[in-house]
Amino acid sequence: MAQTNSQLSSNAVREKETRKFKSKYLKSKGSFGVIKKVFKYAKPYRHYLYLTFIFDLLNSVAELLVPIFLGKAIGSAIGANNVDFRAITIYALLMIGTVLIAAIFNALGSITINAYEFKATYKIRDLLFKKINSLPLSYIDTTSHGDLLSRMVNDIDVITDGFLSSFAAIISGSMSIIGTLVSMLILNLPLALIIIVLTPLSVLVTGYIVKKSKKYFKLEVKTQGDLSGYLEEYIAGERIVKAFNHEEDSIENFSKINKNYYKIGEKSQFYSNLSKPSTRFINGIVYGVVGLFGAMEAMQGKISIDVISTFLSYANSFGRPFEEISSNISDIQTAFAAAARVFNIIEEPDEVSDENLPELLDCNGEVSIKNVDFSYIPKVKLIQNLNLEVKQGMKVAIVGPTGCGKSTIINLLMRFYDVNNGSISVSGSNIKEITRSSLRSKYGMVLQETWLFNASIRDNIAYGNPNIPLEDIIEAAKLAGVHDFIEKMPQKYDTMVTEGGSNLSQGEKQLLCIARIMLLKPPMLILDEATSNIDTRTEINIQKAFNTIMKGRTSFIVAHRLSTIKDADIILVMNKGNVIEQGTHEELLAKKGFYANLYNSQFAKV
Amino acid sequence: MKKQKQAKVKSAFNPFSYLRNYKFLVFFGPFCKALEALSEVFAPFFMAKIIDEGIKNNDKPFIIKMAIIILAINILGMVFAILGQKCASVTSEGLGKDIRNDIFKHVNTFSYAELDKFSTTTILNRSVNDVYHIQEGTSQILRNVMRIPFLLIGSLVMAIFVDLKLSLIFLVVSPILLTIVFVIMKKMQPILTSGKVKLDKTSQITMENLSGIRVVRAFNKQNFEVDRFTNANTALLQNDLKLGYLGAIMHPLIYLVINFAIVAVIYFGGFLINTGSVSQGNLLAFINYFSQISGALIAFARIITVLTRMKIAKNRINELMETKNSINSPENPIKINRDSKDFGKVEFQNVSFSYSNLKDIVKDLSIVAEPGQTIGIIGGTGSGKSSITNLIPRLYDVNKGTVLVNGHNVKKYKVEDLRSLVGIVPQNPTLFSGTIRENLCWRKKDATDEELIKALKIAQAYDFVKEYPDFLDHPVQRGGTNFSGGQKQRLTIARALVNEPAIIILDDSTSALDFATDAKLRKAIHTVLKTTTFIVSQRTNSLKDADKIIVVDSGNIADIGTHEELLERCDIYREIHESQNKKEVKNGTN
Repeated sequence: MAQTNSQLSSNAVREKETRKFKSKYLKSKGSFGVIKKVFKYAKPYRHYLYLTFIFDLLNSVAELLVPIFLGKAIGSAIGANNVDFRAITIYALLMIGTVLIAAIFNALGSITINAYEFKATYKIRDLLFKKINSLPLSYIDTTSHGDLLSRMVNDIDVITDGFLSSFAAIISGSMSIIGTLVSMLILNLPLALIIIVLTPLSVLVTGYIVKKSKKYFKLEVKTQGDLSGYLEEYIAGERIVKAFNHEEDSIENFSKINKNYYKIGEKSQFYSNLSKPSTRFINGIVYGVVGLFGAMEAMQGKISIDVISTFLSYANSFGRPFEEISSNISDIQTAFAAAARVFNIIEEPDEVSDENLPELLDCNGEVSIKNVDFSYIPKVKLIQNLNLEVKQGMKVAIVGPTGCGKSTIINLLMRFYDVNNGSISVSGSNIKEITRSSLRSKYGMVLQETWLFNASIRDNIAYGNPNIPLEDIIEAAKLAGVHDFIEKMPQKYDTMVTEGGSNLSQGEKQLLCIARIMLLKPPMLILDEATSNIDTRTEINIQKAFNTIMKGRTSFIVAHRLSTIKDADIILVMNKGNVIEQGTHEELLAKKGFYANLYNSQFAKV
Repeated sequence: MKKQKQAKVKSAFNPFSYLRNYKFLVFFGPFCKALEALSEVFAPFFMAKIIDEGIKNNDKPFIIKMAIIILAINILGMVFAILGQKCASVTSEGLGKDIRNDIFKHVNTFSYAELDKFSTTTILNRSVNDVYHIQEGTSQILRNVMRIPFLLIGSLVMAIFVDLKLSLIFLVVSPILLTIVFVIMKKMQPILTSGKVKLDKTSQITMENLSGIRVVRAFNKQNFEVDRFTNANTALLQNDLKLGYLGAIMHPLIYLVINFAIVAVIYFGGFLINTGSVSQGNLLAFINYFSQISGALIAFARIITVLTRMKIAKNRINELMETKNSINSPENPIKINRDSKDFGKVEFQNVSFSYSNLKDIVKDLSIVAEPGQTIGIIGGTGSGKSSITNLIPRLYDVNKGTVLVNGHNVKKYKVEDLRSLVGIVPQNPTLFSGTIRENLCWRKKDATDEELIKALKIAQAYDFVKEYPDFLDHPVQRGGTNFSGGQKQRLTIARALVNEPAIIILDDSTSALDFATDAKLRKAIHTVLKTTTFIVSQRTNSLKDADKIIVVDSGNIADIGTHEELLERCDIYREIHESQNKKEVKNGTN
């Protein structure tokens, strides 16, 4: 895998980046396009959204009635010996009623918007994960895994916070703005106009703040990335830092990055926390102006005090949704960026579909490679006109200097990548004309980099087949020579493999991966430098097991070791990405070419 | 148990102690926020005056005067708010910066033994996320520590000033509100925690799938993996929904309680107005104070959540800061004598070593490496090969026995001096983002091009580095991903050779090289540098020219000798050697 990556020069990565960059701007037609996509993916849950609209509307109507009843009640208590207790009782009861209704619909509205929000997040996360499993390998190989993971975790979180939570604020906010507007207009036109004219001021003010903070916000995200990146790299490499006495330099660099992050973070925090007090400020002004004009009108007997009281509470409540919406704007902005990143992946084209292709049923282990050309990047030619006939049970060794592209052959055999020209056939069927799953199930593969997942040893060996009886698993483990070791583990076959298999040594991990293959007994084998990480004594055991399992099976071995190379039926000698020689050990030695040189060099006297 | 300990011992990390760097701001900020709160408290007071005095007396100038006062108060409030905000952001972000610096500095004092305890992600999370929570918490506290009490007390005083009997209603309502908030918060806590675990699970499965994508596809287990993920994702969804329900009822409940209380205020207020002890305007002002007090209580509850989050973060950081470096320089270190005849000599005297008191991984090792000699170490996986070499530059300390370098116990040197003698090439080739030059200059900041080229040539890396048009300034991507495994190994070897170390340790660091390059490399080190060399390897061919070879067998030293001696008498060694070479013999007879 590492070799595959190294094949792609940094140039090609850059080329890919620009392609992605362009497609990002072609695909999403601005912010509107992104929002539309959010709605598209959340479509199955749209009924929650409709319900939220209804509940929030009912809630805001009820909430608006409360100040009216409150004002009326206060208006019924004019002064000493001038209090209408009957009216107060009625309004008090009305208040209790409407407050109850408002509370119930408020709760219902929150529940439905939560359901919408969380289920939409769930859906997007699920889609993204499925996408990872259906993308062509070339995409996964050339994209940083950390970046993909961060899209899965951080970006989706940001989308939830930004879009979906803001929907809640926007829906309930706009409902109460509309409701308040209507009732204010009904109650008193001049006072209503004052509030209507003044309140949007807060939108202007917060708009200015948002614009300011947006700049810093973007910078903050970037500098935070720099900071985390540096930390990740240097803490992971801390052992080297220590061994080389590099601590001081490392701390000095860190404090520079940290200082930069602080400068940006301070500004960004200042501006984003400013929106609340500034809305409070505008509200305060509205409050004062409403009081002033209300009092003037009241003096002329045009309105009663209860209207002033109602308006004063409207002045408070009218501003609140603006405050809430405006405080969400910075979240929404980051959510746009995050959503664009997530959708870019979700919309990447899948691997070419093989749905209607037939399965490869019987496999005799014959592989035929005809006139194959392949390269990862069009400009950099790698494999040219490769021809190879592998008969049943043959052993093919792939050798060559470090970084010569040996893994490329595996990528092609397993159809992780498609050939550019020519064809590869298994058992007489062109592998492009059968399903990938049926092709891959015919191979047993052990890679250079072992892979175990966070589950029991038993589940790791049975990988994905929960019905396999324990006896079979033990048998496979015995064949791989790992049974004794497993028996010594605290919970034997039920011992959990920790994240990345950190509780196992490299050799043990590899043995477990081999046991996995032993269980399946596939007709063909691919062994990618499978033994290079295992110490020699363990290797002897593995070699024995391999010899057993290889009997009668076609096998492809990316080899470092002489023992594997020499008794191979065909040796493919690779250099700089291309197959330059092929033949048996003797043939190749007789040729006195690249292989002969390579072979003899290891006996060179030091 | 742990808690008790923490209570007794002064914790190593206290976020508030960092506030001392911002003494003025810490006082001035909340002071401004207090003034802002006062401005909010006084506005309803003047509004009541407008209604009670202005309207009743038809006093237009009075009303205008009061309105101007309200506006002026409001503007003052805004000014103080901005000042307070600035103080809070400078202080909290500055505090975050200082804490991050300290954490990073502290982690840099860790020896390998301490690094074993914490994974990279956990240190990263603690220095970024946890510090962020502390920063947020500090900012919240600075912005509200004075505002809320002032709002609460101010409104309460004003309310009592308006009418004592009516304000008794607060006494009933406040505990109810606080109970609601605390009960719901308490119920949320465990759900929040389990949500974190569930989110971790989804990211873990994602990471496993990314790294194992070839295996997943080779085994056709895409659907199995999707199911595995969907399960984790569904668990996360259920958790989120549960949290959502709690959140959904909190707000309406508070709204209910406050409004019921307002109804009560109006009802009793009616009686009081009827007796003439309260005016209509005062009742209006009273209700306004009521909303302010409730608002302050809710804000208070929010601060409590921030504080709990801050406490969790504090404990996690504390765990890091409490961990003390176990390898320190002595008080009076001895100087390194480069002219000594023992310069470059390494000696192990009855050395035993184990990781955190587990089974000994090195047992009773005694060996002398004379200056310029090559010592090979061979043995099975996990048999303690690397552990032996890690003891030389004191990356770990021995449990028993002594390691001597240049004839003196390694513990007598200044740690930095000792390590500067040793060029170590670790098993995993780690490069850092930057340029090739930056990566090579680790042992000597101002190394010249000639020095670097010399190191590259010995490491057999010159040939590919010289192909780059930008040569030594060729960029290195993070983790060295733009180099192949073999190239990375050769660069890390070159890095260790710059500034000619007295001792070189090659810890299985040529595994990705082909035999020919490996051989050339060893030859170059031997002939050009002539330094004491330790080679850990799994190939007998790489070791056969060593002066001494240590054969390790799961913690025990099986034998020590030359290649020929070991072939003669050591079964393990012979077995290893034959398994790697037997086919040649067979081939020869073919």
